[in-house]
Formats: sequence, C-alpha cells, structure tokens
Amino acid sequence: MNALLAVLLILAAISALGVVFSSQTLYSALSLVLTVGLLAAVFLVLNAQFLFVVQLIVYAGAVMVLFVFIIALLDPAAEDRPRLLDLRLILGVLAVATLCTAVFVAARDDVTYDTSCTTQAVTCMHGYSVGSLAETGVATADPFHSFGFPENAVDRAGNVQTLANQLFHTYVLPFEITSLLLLVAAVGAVYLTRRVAAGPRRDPQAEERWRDDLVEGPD
Amino acid sequence: MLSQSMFPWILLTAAFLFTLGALGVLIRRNPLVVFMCIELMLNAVNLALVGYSSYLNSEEGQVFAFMVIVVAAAEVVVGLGLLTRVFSIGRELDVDDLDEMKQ
Amino acid sequence: MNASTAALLAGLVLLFPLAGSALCGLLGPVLGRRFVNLAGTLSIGAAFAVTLVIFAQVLGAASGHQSTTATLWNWLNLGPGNLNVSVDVTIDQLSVLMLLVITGVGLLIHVYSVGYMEHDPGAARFFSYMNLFIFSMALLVLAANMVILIIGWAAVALSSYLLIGFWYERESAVLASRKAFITQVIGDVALVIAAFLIFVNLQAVAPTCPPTAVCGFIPGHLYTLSLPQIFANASSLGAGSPLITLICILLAVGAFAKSAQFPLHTWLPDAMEGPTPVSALIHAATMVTAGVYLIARFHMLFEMSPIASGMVACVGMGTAVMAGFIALSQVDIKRVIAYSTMSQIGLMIYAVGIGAYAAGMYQFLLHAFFKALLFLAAGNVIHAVHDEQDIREMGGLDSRMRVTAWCFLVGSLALAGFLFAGMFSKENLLGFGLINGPGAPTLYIVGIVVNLLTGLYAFRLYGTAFRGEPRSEAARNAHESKAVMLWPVIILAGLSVLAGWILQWPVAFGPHLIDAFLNPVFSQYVGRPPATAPGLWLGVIGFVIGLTCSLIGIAVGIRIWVRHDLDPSRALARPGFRLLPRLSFNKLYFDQIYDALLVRPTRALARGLRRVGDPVMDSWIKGVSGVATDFSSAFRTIQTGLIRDYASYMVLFVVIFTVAVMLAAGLAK
Repeated sequence: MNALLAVLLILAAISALGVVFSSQTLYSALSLVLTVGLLAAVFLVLNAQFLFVVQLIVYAGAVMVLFVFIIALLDPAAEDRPRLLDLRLILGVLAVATLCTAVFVAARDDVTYDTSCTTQAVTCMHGYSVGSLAETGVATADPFHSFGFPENAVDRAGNVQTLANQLFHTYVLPFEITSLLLLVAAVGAVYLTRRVAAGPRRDPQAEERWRDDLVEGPD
Repeated sequence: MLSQSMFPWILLTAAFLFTLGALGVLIRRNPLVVFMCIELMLNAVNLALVGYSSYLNSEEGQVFAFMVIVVAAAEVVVGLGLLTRVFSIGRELDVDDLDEMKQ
Repeated sequence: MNASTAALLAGLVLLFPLAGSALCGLLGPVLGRRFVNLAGTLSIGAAFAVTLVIFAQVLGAASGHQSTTATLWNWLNLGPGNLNVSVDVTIDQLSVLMLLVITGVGLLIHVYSVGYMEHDPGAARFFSYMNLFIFSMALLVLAANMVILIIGWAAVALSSYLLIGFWYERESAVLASRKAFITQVIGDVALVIAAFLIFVNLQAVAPTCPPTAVCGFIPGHLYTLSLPQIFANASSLGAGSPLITLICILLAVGAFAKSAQFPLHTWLPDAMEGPTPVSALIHAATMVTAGVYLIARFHMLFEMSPIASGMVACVGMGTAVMAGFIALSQVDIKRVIAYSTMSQIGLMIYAVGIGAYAAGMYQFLLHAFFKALLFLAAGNVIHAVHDEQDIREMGGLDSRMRVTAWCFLVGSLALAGFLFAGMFSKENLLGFGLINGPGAPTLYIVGIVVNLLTGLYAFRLYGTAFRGEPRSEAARNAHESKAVMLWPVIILAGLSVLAGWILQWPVAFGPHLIDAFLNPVFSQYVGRPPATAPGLWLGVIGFVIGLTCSLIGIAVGIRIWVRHDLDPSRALARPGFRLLPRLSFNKLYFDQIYDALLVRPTRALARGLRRVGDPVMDSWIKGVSGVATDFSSAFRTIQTGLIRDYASYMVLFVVIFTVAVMLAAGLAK
C-alpha cells in the first residue's frame, strides 16, 4: 500500500513538472490529464472512492477535454523559453523550495498532532467530535487522532453513503450554493460565447474600440 | 487508512504540486497554460484535503474536495469562455499583452 | 375675541395661502392648468373669507377688547429665563385692515391672473409664488413680535424677487429682480439692527417678568422682542433721546426700502419687468405699503422722536413730488403707474410721519383700489396691443376697449383726486399737513404741488394711451379682454367710485369711518400725540385749495393730451426749462449716480481682491493636491497591468507569511 502510494505520488510530481515546463501547449494539457488521473488513483488508495470516480469523470473527462478542445480551436503558438535569470522564475523556485520544506517540516511527527499541545499555534490541532459519524461508529479518543473517530468508521459505512450523509445534512447549504454557482457559470458561458458582429478574424477596429473602452479612465 | 509514516509525503507532494503550479503561473505567458497551472494548484489542494480526510478518518475533507472540484469546473468554463472571446476579437494570447489594467 | 379664536383664525389666514402655494408648486405641473387656477384662487378666497370673519369679530368686539394677541405655537424655547420665541399674532384694527386689502384685492388680482397667465407655461409657478407672497404679507401684518415681523419682511422680499424675475429667461427681468432684492436687503439690515437695539435697551417698567421675555440678567432689564411689550415699555427708551432717534431712523430706512422711497426707490420702476398682476399686487396695493404699516405699527416709537418722524415726513413728501415729476415724461405705461405709486406712497409716508396715521391708512385703502385698477387695466391694454408697453404706440383704444377705457378713466380721476376715491383720502391727508408736521404748512404746499403733478401725469397717461388716433397696427387691431380679466377691473372701479363716498358719508371731508375704526390703535402714545385734525373752517379751506390744484392739473392735462389744445413744447424750450424734460426722463439720474458711487467701486474692489487673493488660495489647494498626486504616481508603478506581476506579489507574500508563521510557531514550540 505504501509503496503503491509512493510510486503514484512520484509519478504525479513528474507529470506536474511536465505541465509547467512543456513548450507545447498540448503537451501541457496531456500532462495535466495524466496528473489528474494519477491523483484519482491516489484518492482511491486513500479510501475516497466517490472522489476517485468524480475526479475521473468531471476533471479528466470534462474539464480536461474542454481544455483540449479549446487548444485545438485556438491553435496557439509555442512560447519562447523563459530566460534563466528572470526575476519571477527565481521567485517561483524560491517559493517551491521554501513552502515544500515548511510543509514537510510541519507534517512530521514531533510537530503535529500532539494531543498535549495546549498553545494556539497553527500546527497544533484541538480535537472535537463530529456528530454524524457517531451514527456509524463510536467516537473514541485516540492519542494519534485528535478527531476521535474510530479507524474503520469510513470503511464501515461505505464511502458514498457517508459522504452523502454529510452533503445532504450538515453541508446542504454549501451544496445548494455550489449548484447555483454552476448555473451562473453555465449562463456566463452562454453569454460569453455568443456571436458578435466581428467574427474570429482579426479585427483591428474592434481591437481599437476595445482598447479605448478599457483605457478610458481618469488618467 | 493512511498510516502515520506516509502522511507527510502526501502533504509534501501536495505542497510541491501547489508551488509548481504557482511557479507556472508566474513563468508562463500562454493564458491556457496558466489556466492549467491553476487547475494543478486546485488538484494539489484536493490531494491535501483527501489526505487529511483519510488520515483523520473524517469525511469532511472529501466533502470539501467535492466542492473544490465543482468550483474548479465552473471556473474553467467561464475562464475559457473569456479566453475565447479575447481570441475572437483578435488579441494575442499572451498575458503580457492583456495589460489594460495598467495605471 | 379670545386668544384661541384669534389663534385659529390667524392660523387659517396664514395656512390657506401657504397650502395653495405648496399645492400649485408641487402638484401644479402634474395636475394641469385647471387645478392650478382653482387651487391658487380658492386659497386666497378662503383666506379672504376668514379675514371677513376676523373683521366681523373685531367690529363686534366690545371697545377696549378689540385687540388680541395670540400665540400660534412656541417656536424656540431655551428654558425659563432664557430665549423664548413664539409665533405670535396680533389681531387688531390695523392688522385686520391690512389683511382685508391683502386678501381682498389679492383675490381679485388672482382671478385676473387666471386670464392673464392663460398662455404662459409657467402658470403653476406663478400662482405658487403669488400665494407665497400673500402668505408672507399676511405674516408680516399679523406679527406680534419682531422676529416674526422680520421673517415676514424677508419672505415678502423673497416673493417679490421670485415674482419680478418670473420670466427668468429675460435678462432685464433677472437684473431687475436682483436690484429689487438687494435694495430691500439694505432695509432688512436696518430693521434687524433696530430690533437688536430695541432688544438690548428696553427696560421694564413693571417689576415682574412676563412669560415670553428674557429677564433677570440685569435686574429690571427686560429683553423682549414682543411688540405689545415693547410698546408697553417704550418710554424706557427715552423720549427724544439719540437712542430712540437712531432706532426710528433705522426703522424708517427699512420702511423706505420696502416702500420705494428716496433714496432706496430705484428698484420700483425696474420691477415692472414682472407680469402685470404682480405689479398690481405687489407694487401697488401691498408690499410697497408695508413700510407705511411698519411706521404706523411703531407709531409709539416714532412719536418719541420728533427728528425721526420729521425726517420721515420730509422724505415722504420729497419722494412724492420727485416721483410725480418723473412720471410726467415716462413712456412705458407701467412705469408711469409705478412712479405714480411711488408718489402716492410718499403721501402716505408723509401722513404717518406727521402723525396722521388714520389718514395714511385711509389713503392706503383707497389707493389700493384705484392703483390695482390702473395696473390691471394697463394689463388689459398690454394684452390687447400684443405686449407693447410704449404709450406712444397706443392711442384710440377708448373706442376699441370701451370697458377698460371707462374703468381706466375712473381710476385716473380717483388718482388725480376728483370725485372719486383719491379726492377724499388725499385731501384728508393734506389737511393734516396744514397744522402738523415740521415747518407746517410748508409741506402742505408741496403736497398741493403733488396734486397738480398727479392730475397732469394721470391724464397724460389716459390721453396718450386711450384717446386720439391709433398710432400703430397693434393699437388699430386692439379688442376688449375677456370676462375673467374684465370683472376684477370693473369691481375695483366700482370700489374706487363708491368707497370714498361710503366711508366719508355724509360729508366729503373731515372725519371718516376709517378714522373711527383705527382710533383705538393709535390712542395710546408716549411723547408727541398723534396729529390733530384741522378745525372745520381750516379743513374746508384746505380741501378747496387742494381740490383746486388737482382740478388745475386735470384740466391742463386734458387740454394738452386729450384735446390737444395746448402745446407745452414752446414753454419747455425756454432756457431755464430745457433741462426739465431730460431730468425727468432720466429719472433724475439716480441709477447713474448709484452706479458710479456704489456699483463701480465695489466691482473694482472685487477685481482687485481676486487678483491678490486667487494666487494665494490656488497655491494652497494645488500644494495639497500636489502631494496627493505625487504620492499616488509613485504608487502607480506597481500597477503594471501584467497578471504575472500581480501573481508574483501574491506568491512573495505567501512565502513570507508562511515562513514567519512557521518560525513563530517553531519558536513558541
């Protein structure tokens, strides 16, 4: 199990590199598809079956397909490589290094999950019991798991049911709001892609007008 | 189900993917690639959430990850629609070129 | 009449025009012309009805109880022993007489205006302003303390400004309304200073402190602006002292500004820019008489200062003769009538100056009738000849506009003082001048010269405008006005004919009903008593002399301008007299004098100050804005417009923040 997980994570990291550093846009897209798929596998290993399926269907199957279609439609040219001494590149690499180190340090044993931790530091968590799992399993205090759920609570109830329990009871409001969000996105998509007078040809006049519109300011 | 030993690595990978995505946003000039890097960041977040959910045996992380996926999907739709519009006017697909917010 | 009835009635008289003004102004444009006509006129009609009720009450009240002071509501109350101002009203014979004219003649003029403003798009605004004026004037005459008086005074000035400049697209109208308002402000300031002086200096005779006064700061010192209390304690101001003279002079200045007396008279002829009903209401019957009312109301103070009242008398008579002189050469029909008003008001001011208050108010009443008549008839004429106001372009109207012509003739005779109204009031007034007033009978002699001039210009106007052959196309095609504009004229003509005879029945000189009516108001005095009426024989002689002069004036006027028998041009061509017509036509050059003395220096001063002050102020403002601009320019550089830059700022700060938190947590660990 751990070995499988390790392999999947390493492969995901490598394909992520491919997303960021490919010169061709299409290669980036394909790398992203691969990354998404690998992450879906990771979800499965981590006992999130529902998310595994959702990730594959929605993310890999819809979002990424949309990306690929757009790439095909817009046919963008390849970019030049960024300069090595680009300030932003340096900043980015610095960010990678710093944040990964910080997270890893924080995630190690002797820093987190100390139940005797009494200060309000960010890396300390205070346990609390959540009501819904009490139906499926007895909540017991565990020295390593400050949330106090039994180990196989998720296993016992089955992932979809447990998830549904939460979604439609405790988190029903965010659920509804996100559906509203989807509606808004759909309407937005329809509006944004409506046909306008100027076709997809390059139109200097329209460009001029658009520029003027936006630049109109109290400069 | 996640063991104590593997958990930090999950978080590390998530952090790595996240910052890689941020790097990509900083470096790349093609807006489509920038978008994809943003998706990468979102996926990293999902990974972290599911990792926590598994480690702490609480499905709230998965609920949140679900929401993230929904929002990401909506965002991609709108964002790509905007990009299409930009393209149809005839602008360059280069984030440095779209600098009308300049003061 | 008890206080609550008085308060109710006075409140209604004030409320109806105010409501009418608001309705016409706010709902008029929405609800249309019919509504405006109805609302604007009915409100004044209601006010007139209430005034009649008040009049009946005052007439029927037992003697000694005819004057009532009531409080409408308490406006400003800062606590016991502290400033306390209420909206107080006084209902007595004087105020009710003024109210009758204001609402009665006002009603007739409003009815006339329905016809006059028929084609004007701003009718709603017009009626709103007119009602506002009636309200202000009513407030002024009902006021029982100086605060309300001054408020009414200023509101009247405001209404007149609005009404004179009614046709605001005309530059001349705007300038005229401004001129009127500025001149009246001078009077307002004088009035306010007088109020301050009274307030500070009035001492209490009675040891107790009445409820609406501020007492107790200095024992015995009474701080009040309430008119009954001022008059009750007036003697404490010191009869004949410089203080009272100063106060009275200031009050007189206020009166002169409002009544267009010398030297604050230049606004009245220009005020003819307003619509004719405005001239009839404001510049004939009501506003210009507010000055007369003021002096009459404050008669007790004026009686304590012979210098001030003497000055008032002189100014009044001087203005009367000056205005008569100028009226002889003016060519605008309304301006002639305006100068005539100035002259007649001069006589009224003279009357209250010498202490003949009832005579002055009698003249006021009758003058309101025939002057409003003249103005409204002039309005008919102007309407008929398509807004031509130059009398040289008229002529021959007597056959084309019979009713108006006859009414105008009646009015002219009333003005000139023969047979109708003016004969009674003017001769009565002048009769007092025989034995009262400074240097009597000098001013009386000037007065009969005024009679002569009045007859002359009145018939010059009638003859030139109505008689002879039409001198223009418009005059040839003139026709009579419609009913709504004729009936008020006819009614006023009837009043002009009958009022004098009725009020002074059965003898045409000597005491009259107004005198008896107003006697209680003026019976109390401190200092010099009111004017004594001339004895019987003196009165008859004075009457005959005065009437003769009027008749001479009328006769000469008829001969020159109606029958064209006499031609004055040869007399005027003689060396000494050549200057006279030019002086008269140019209004004695007052406008030019004021321009040179007052207007130009002020403008020069303003220009100079601007040249000096502007750079200083600009540098301040620019300095402040400069700092802000530089600051924001500096900040602007981070807004490059590139998404990548903005993203890098975000990443940078996330990194810094995370490391900081980590270190803080690590340190805490």
